[in-house]
Amino acid sequence: MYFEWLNFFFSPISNGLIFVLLALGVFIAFRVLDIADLSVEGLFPMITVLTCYLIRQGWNPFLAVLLCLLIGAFTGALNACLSLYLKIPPLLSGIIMMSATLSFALVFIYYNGGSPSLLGGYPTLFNWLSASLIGAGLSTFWGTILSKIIVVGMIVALVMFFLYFFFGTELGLAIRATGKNKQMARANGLSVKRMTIIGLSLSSAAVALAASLYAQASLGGTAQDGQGMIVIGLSIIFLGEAILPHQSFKRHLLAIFGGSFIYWYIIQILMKLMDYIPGGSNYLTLWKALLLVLVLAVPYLILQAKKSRANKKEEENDAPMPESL
Amino acid sequence: MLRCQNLYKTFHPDGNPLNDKKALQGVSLTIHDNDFIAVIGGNGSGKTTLLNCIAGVHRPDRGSMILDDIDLRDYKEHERAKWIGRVFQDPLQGTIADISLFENLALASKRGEKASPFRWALSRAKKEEFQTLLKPLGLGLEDRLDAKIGSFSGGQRQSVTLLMATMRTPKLLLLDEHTAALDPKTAKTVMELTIQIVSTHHIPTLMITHNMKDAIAYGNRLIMMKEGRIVFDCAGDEKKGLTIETLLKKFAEDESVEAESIL
Amino acid sequence: MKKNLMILAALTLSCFSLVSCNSASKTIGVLKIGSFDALNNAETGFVKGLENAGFVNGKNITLKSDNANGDGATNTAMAQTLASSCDMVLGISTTSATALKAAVDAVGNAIPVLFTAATDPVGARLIKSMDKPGGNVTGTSDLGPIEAEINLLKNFSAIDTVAFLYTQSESNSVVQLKIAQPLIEKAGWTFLSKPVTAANEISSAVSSLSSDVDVLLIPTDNTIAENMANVKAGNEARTGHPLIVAGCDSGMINGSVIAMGVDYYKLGVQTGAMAGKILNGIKPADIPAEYNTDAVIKVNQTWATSLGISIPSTITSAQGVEII
Repeated sequence: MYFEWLNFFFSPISNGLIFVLLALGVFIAFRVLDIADLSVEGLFPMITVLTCYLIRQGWNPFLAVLLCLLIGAFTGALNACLSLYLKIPPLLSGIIMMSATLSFALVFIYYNGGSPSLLGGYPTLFNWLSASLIGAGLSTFWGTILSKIIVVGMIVALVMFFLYFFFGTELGLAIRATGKNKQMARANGLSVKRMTIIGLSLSSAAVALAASLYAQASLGGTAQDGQGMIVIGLSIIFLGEAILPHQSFKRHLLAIFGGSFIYWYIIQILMKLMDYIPGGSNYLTLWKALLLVLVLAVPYLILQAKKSRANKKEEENDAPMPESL
Repeated sequence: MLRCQNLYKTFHPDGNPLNDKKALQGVSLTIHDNDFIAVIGGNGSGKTTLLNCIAGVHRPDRGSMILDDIDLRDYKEHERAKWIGRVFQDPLQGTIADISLFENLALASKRGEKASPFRWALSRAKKEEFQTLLKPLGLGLEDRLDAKIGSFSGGQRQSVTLLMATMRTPKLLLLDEHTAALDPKTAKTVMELTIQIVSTHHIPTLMITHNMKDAIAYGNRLIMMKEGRIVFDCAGDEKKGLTIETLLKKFAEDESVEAESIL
Repeated sequence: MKKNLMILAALTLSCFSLVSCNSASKTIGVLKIGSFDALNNAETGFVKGLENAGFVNGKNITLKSDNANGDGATNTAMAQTLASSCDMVLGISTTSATALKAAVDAVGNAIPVLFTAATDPVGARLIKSMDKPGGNVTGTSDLGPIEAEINLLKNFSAIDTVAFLYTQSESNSVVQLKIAQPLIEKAGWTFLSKPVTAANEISSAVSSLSSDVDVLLIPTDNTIAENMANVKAGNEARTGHPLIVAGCDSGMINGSVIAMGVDYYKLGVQTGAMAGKILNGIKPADIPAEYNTDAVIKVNQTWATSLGISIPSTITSAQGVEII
């Protein structure tokens, strides 16, 4: 019982933190650059598998994360170049990158002789901290979960600060402008090509970072890891935007941060509810979709109701039409 | 000074040569440093294509464009932006609605320079600079620097775009029917602002307009285009003496052109 | 925004009230990565195995069944929930078992973790070795009887090339490829790897193999197991050189000439028996991990004859062979 409630409240925090990074990556591509980048579904497993593979080969987990970050940036740049220089429609170039990265994941799995697992004592970014915390007297549960929350929390804070400051620089503003109005960007001397390449590199780097941390948190990498990742990223963005204010760029970043936790708490509640429905988690995907519709529709419907009530009040105060007309 | 020689541009929308559009058929034009040229012509006469070729949106098939001593053909659209300022017909096109006035102006102030990741886009000094720029417009925009441009009216946005296009005095200003989407009163305000800026900073200007009154009233030179060629070019006193009737007659000289009159 | 937070809070609180803690009966959490025939059969078998040991759902045990719907993130979250709320957990598939072990280690309650339908539990580092699992994990592996099957194939004369058909993204199939390749080459045959990425590629992959290929070896692969009809169609579409299809899952007999080995239902029953032992007090470290013990050999004589393949009598008259 005790652990059940601890898990209920704390695991969405540790999961939510990692997915903030994924959502930020998707945000940069879909919202800032206005590009529908589907490469995430292939990039994610390539990085989870690569991270586990590298750590199994003896790499320092921190260096593994750094390498994956660079590979992610490279993938994003390549994606941009495919559509900018070869005139491949961006949607298609994203799909091409997805297939290419997925193939790399399969190659690593082949050479590893199966999906690489980090169970049984391989070093990760988290277990040095959890070991010290447990050594200092904390229970295994607290040691493990706090180490994840602290390490990922620090990384998320760093990334969010970086993005906030970066998008406030000339280059950052230029990238945002390019995403919103290419014509205006060009008329103001901005190279759309340069902006897109930098922007997509950032986006894919964030996704790669999320993937590398995810691999170390779940202690394994499989070829199926990317399934549904874009949907989760977009859901987090939509949820954050629907529920939290996001007029300024800073608020928008915070809305995504909040959105990730909202998403994970919703999933947690849903999983609990599944216990009481016959057929249970077999229909989880359906219930997820329904609940998301609900959460997105309710604020809109409430707004509509408010508007019509206000309009009705105005009508009562209007002067009636003269009979003669 | 811009020297365009023998510009030809044909568009091929599909493989069928019958559907080819000969937008420019040998246009030669010299814009002197003190020129403010009004360009008029029917739809499809090539006015916008001429502007777009100069700006770099299209590559002419043949012909040269030399700005001072720069061969424009060596530069892409965004590279030419250092020297060429533009205002579009659609007030939504020249500015970005979702970001603040301050940010829009900041973008324009860096036109021609490489955007650096090491400098802040916005600063207190810039804010003061922009406030000084906006005050003379008399629109109260200097107090709304942090507001998103989406909340501004069409006239305000065109004024802002004008400011942005001329902030770093360009070698050439291209105006593509920039008051056409505005109501008459606002259009007049924007036109007067245009003249004011252009004369203060001595910017050679090419202005496309459908409004023949404006074409006659403003500028020192008037050009009429028809079917991809310049058919009429008058300046100075001759231009001052033009009337709308004269222009309409010129329009009607070729049956293939529909004359427009927005009076 | 406030309204939404209130709704969220209300839902959370209602969850508190709905939970009933019955400490008398033990809770067993079952997590499977997705709904596949093989995995579903294993789950059904597991329940039966527990019943055989005297443990019935609702009477003296409570079973919680979770399906991750193929989503890795959901799999992790479900594993975390089960690990913190159950007395014992079962992971059906390597991915689910790995997530459960990681979650149990994170909680630190060292509850028994069982696995089934995991092809290489030692390679996945779930256990130290099959005989001495060590720790709190044990279970059953669905590694196909590749060596036995290859030995059975030696009864056929004049085999030149053996093609290995598998779904590229299934890690378990890769594990079996690595086992099969050296064995095939040692038998003096040429090894050909034939990966597919989706079910709709199976038929053309089979029919397009060259005439050098005599045997098609299929590991315990979820996707192919569910689409044996495509294998059958592909083989029948071949002009002139039908393949001796050898499947490592006895459920593959529809579409195989020979199918031996893993019956997922029986594997589940084996796992259920292990669970029963654990509930009766035996430590998981003392229960060796098992392979499928009932190695059924099925031979599809009818199909073979229609294809023009004659099966050596050494196979058909062997012990424990079921002829269709």
